[in-house]
Amino acid sequence: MKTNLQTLKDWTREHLEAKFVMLGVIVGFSLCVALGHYFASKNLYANFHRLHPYISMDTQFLPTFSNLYELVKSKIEPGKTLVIVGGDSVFNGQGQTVDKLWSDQLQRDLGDKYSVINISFRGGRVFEGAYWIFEALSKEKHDVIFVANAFGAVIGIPCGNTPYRYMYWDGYYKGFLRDFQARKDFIDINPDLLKDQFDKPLDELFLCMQLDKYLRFRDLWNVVSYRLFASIWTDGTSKDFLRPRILYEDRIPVSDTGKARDSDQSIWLNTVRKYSLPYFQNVNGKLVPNHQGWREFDLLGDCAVIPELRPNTLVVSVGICPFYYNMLSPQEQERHNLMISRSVSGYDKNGYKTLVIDKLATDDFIDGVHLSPAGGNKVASQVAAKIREIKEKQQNQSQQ
Amino acid sequence: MIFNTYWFFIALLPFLLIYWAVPSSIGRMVTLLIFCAIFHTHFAGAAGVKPIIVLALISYGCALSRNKHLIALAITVCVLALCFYKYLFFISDELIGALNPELGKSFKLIFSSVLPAAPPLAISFFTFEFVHYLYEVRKGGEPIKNPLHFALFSVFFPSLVAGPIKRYTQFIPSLEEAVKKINWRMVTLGLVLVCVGFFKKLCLADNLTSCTEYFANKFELITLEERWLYLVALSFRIYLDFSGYSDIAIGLARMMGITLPTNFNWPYLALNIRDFWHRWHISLSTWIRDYVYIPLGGNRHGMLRTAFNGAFAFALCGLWHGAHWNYIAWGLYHGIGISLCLAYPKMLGSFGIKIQTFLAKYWFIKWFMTYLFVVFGWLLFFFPLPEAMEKFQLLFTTGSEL
Repeated sequence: MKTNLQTLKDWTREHLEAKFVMLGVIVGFSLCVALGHYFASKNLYANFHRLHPYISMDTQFLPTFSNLYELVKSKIEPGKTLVIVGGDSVFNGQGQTVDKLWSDQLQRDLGDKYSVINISFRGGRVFEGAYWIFEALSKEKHDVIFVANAFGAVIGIPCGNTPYRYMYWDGYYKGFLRDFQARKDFIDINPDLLKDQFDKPLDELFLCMQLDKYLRFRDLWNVVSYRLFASIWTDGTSKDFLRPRILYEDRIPVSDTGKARDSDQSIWLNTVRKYSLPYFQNVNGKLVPNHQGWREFDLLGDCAVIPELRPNTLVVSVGICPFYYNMLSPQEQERHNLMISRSVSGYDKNGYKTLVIDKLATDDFIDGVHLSPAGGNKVASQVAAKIREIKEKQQNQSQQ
Repeated sequence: MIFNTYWFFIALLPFLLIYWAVPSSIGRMVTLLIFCAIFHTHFAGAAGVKPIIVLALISYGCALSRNKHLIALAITVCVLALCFYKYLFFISDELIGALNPELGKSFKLIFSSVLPAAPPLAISFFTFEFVHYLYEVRKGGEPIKNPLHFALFSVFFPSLVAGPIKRYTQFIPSLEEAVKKINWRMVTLGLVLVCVGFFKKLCLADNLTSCTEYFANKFELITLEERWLYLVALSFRIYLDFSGYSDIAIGLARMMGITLPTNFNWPYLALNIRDFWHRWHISLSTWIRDYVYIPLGGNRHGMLRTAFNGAFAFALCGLWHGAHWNYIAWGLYHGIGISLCLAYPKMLGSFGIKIQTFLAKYWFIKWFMTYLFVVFGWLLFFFPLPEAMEKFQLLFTTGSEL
């Protein structure tokens, strides 16, 4: 017959042990959630200049919306105009070492009255990523100017293209983004935007972001990866993949301009040709606009950015390397020029501020489109001048 | 993998809370069945659940009748269904197409019009479970009378997609016991096992997968040492991936109080190839043994027949993993390995006995040879035959030239 003590021991073994473990799991889980929320409201990055490969998608480090939002917020200073730089690898500074980064030059050119932060992504589109942060910040009525480069007539879809769409939905479900009917309508009438490249619904992405709104596991994991240890192997980090990302230096090299021209000529020629659309040759041999293409361009331009933010949105069209431009046939050159002028007039019509930078030399590029440090400096000075012009006009208007 | 989807995570939590909170056995079983149905419909789609429903009804009805002919017919239907959904394209492309490419193309066109783009979810697993059930009942086993029990045996979500392959004689008593009362100790153990499984899968196996896939494409460019390291990584990739998945399945079942069969038991510690198959994907290897190898005659009809039975059973085991020649080659490779392992002392006479005695003394050599045999086999498993052969040769060649 079992004694009372034995029965108690049995009961303890059966119930208490298990319940303590379960309690530990619940407490541990809740602690992680609380930490996630805490870190989501803090700036993650130290000594930030740009999203270099070790803190971006290139090595599977996906900044959360909160990460970038808090980073940008940390740059806000009273009495200064915040300049958020977005766009693609051209504005990310591909081809420029961190000490020769064009956006740091932009800061120097603009002076103390401005505070510049570059959160452009490689492969990003003009109104992706950085624009959404700009939109989220606009809720708080800060003095902000958004600058991004546009490549050809490519705007991208308003809820983000393949690698960066996660950030739109991250911001959307966490309530960072503002209500914008034109964008909502565009997404509603294009259900394909809610599918991935394999035509599968993005349900898992939506569930992830909805869950993350409450649990903040992505913010917590980014802190762990950035400060303590990373957990995902990538070919970029290879043997050092466990190393915390904070220890990685921004090591984007300055490319040898001549070498790039010799080895990647056909690639860049094709790229330039590809982005010289949407004009095509008609039966008489004349270049005529592809109306469908331009209609889409104008429509996308109208539903990507909230209208009231467009006067503070500067779209910069940086020309292509003259070396490649001269390799194009006269007809291709004409098409390229038409594409630039038509896309800029499209942006203008939709209320954006625009700047065309096309007087660059071959040595201002490292390849077909990316800028060398010298080219970056030239772009920085022209962008700075345009930003000052926009601000002065706005100040004059407000005084009147 | 289905278990690491957000949908599963979100759906599982309320289900478990309800399952634990429901006071009656019937209530728990109904809750479990509803969740299994939702799980399967979500991942397989409405059309994808039809095969499992039809085959389950056939299996249940035929087994209940205890009519041996009907049961044999049901087994045939299950096997044909598996062949139809999983191997028809293999037949048109690789078998008919090899003999007559035009005819192969015509058959492929016909098959494309009747087959879904992908085989129904988990068809390899549930057909094997039905065949096991029907075979045992035909042999005189007691059929499952309670339709709820049978439905749960058919669609039990933790083991549905990637095993372990259940035995009804073990599953039903475990289910009956589990739904009576929640065993919190078992729930805790299950939770620990689930965590271990996720760690194996997400932290270890997924990283090894990225790493091995990256180096597979530049295999000829890496150093000889790196190639061998790659092979080791490949072996741990598949082990951690599959055993991690099995741990999650077994752990989830335990959280409901149900015991599933063990699937892996430190396979890379095996001291011979036969031992390896007692430790690797145990639920499949025992299924193949019980329902293919032994019914074919096993080792009861002389050495030649034993070798044939073993080779056939293992080729089938390989084919079960996928409808490609490399899987068959992988199966045959292991079949030959086991045959040699069992037969060499007899075949080589006194020299064979000497080797056996020597290896018995130095277990480390046995272990190393077994591991080496298994990892070479993974090349066949992962790559088409010519590529596997090329990679194998590169393991013994410095530089990129063969």
